[in-house]
Amino acid sequence: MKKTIVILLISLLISIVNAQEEPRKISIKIGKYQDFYRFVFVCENSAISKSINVNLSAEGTIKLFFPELFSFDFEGKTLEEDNTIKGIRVIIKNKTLLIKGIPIKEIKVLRLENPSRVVVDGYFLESVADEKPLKNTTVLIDPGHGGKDLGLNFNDTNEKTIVLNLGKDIASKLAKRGIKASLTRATDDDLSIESRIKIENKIKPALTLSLHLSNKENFTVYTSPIKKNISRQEASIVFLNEDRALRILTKKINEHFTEQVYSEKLPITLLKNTTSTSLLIELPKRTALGDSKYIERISEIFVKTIEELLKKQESGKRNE
Amino acid sequence: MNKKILIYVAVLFALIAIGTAIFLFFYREKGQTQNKKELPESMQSYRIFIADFKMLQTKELFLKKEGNDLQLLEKVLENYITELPSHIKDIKVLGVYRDKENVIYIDLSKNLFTQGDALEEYAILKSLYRTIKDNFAWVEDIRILINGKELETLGGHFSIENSLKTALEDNK
Repeated sequence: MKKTIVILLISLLISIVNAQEEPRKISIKIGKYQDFYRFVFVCENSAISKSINVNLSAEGTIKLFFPELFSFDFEGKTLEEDNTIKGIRVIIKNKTLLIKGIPIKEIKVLRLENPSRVVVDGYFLESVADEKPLKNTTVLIDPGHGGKDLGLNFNDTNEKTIVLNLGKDIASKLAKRGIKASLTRATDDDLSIESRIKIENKIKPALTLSLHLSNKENFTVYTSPIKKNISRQEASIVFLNEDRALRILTKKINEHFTEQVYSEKLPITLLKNTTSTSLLIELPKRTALGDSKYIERISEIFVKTIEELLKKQESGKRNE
Repeated sequence: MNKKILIYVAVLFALIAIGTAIFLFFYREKGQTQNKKELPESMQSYRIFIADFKMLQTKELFLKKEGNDLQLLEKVLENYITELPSHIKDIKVLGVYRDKENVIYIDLSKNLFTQGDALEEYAILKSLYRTIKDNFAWVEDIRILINGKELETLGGHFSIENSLKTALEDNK
C-alpha cells in the first residue's frame, strides 16, 4: 500500500514538472486589409506581450523575438516549424518567428490589453501583391479634340496633336505593364463627344482619362458632379473612386512637378455620361513648349498613377 | 385742477403721436415714388451675366420697352456679346427664333468660343444661359446656331447639340 502511494506521488510530481516544462501558447490571427496585413499575437499576460521584439528586415521579412520558447496556434492548430498560411510563410526557429513571402515595406506595432496581445500591421508593396488582377482591367485614354477641332493653338503645334502623342505613349507604357489600354482616337480624326461616350459605354473601362491642354501654368483635374448613365448606387462608388484618383494624381504631380494642381467639379459632357471612374486633365501650357523630357515625365507619372489607382480599385472590390 | 392738466398733457401727446405717424407715412410714400421715378415706365431693367473665370459677374442694363419679347431678347443678347472677353470679337446676332415649346434658337455669325479650357467654356455657356433665363422666364431652353447650323460643341468640352439646359445640368 505504502509503495503504491509513493509511486503515485512520484508520477504526479513528474507529470507536474513535465507540464511546467511544456512551452506556453501564443495564438496567432492573420487578416488582410486594403494595403496591409494584420498579425495579432495573443499572449497569456502583458509581461509576455511587452517582452516580444518586432523588427523588419531589408528584404521585407518581419522578425519577432520571444523571451522564451512558445508554441504557436493558428485557428486551433499548433504550428510546425515551417508553415504557409493564406500564402504567407510563417517560420518558427527557437525563440524567433519569421513572416515571409510578402514584401512588407513598413510595419506598425501595437501592444494592447484584454487580452494581452501584440498587433503588427505590415504594409505590403502592392506591385507584387496585386499584380494579377490588373491584367483583366481596361483603361480608356481619350485624347481631346482632333480633326478640324485643333483645341488650343500654339506657335508650331496644337492641343489635338500634343494630347494624341501623349495618349499613345501612355497607352503603350500601360500595355508593357500588362494593363490593357484603349484610345478613343489613335489618329488625327474628327471625333464627336457623343462618339467618345459611346466608346466608353461599350468598353466599360475601369478608368477613363481624357487628356487636354490649358493655356495656364497649372494642372487642372476635372470630375463631374453627376453621372447620368448609371444608378445612384453605382455613381456613389464611381465618385469615391474619382476622389481617390484625384488624391493619388495630385500627390504624384506635387511630388514630381513644380506646377500646382487644381481640381474642379464641372458637368463636362464626357465625364457626366461615362459609366466609369473618369477624369479630364488639362496639362499646363509648358507641355506645348516641345520639352520632350517634361512630356516623358508626365507620361511616366500618369502611368504610375493609373497603376496605383487600379490596384486600389481592385483591392477595394475584393474587400467588398 | 390737476386732472385738467393731466388731460391736456395726454391730448398733447396723442396729437404728437398722430402727427408723427402721419408724417412718417407720407414721407415713406414720397420716398417710394421717388425710387419709382428712377426708372421710367417705358424702360425695363435687365441683368447681363459676364463670364469672369469661376464667378459670374452681373451688370444692370436698361432698355426701352419696344418691340416684342424676341426683339427685346435680341437686344439683351447684343449687349451680352459686347461684354464677352476681348479675344471673342465681331460676333453678330443673325437672328433669334422661338418654337412652340418656347425653346429659343440663337443664330450667331461666329463661334462664341474656340480657344480656351473647360472652365472658360463653361463660364461662357453659363453666362449666356443665365442672361437669357433670368431675364425671360418664359424661355424653356436655348439652342445655339452658328450661321444657321447646329454645332455639337463650342470648344470641345461641352456638347450643346441637344440643348444648353442639358449641357449645363449639374444635378440629377
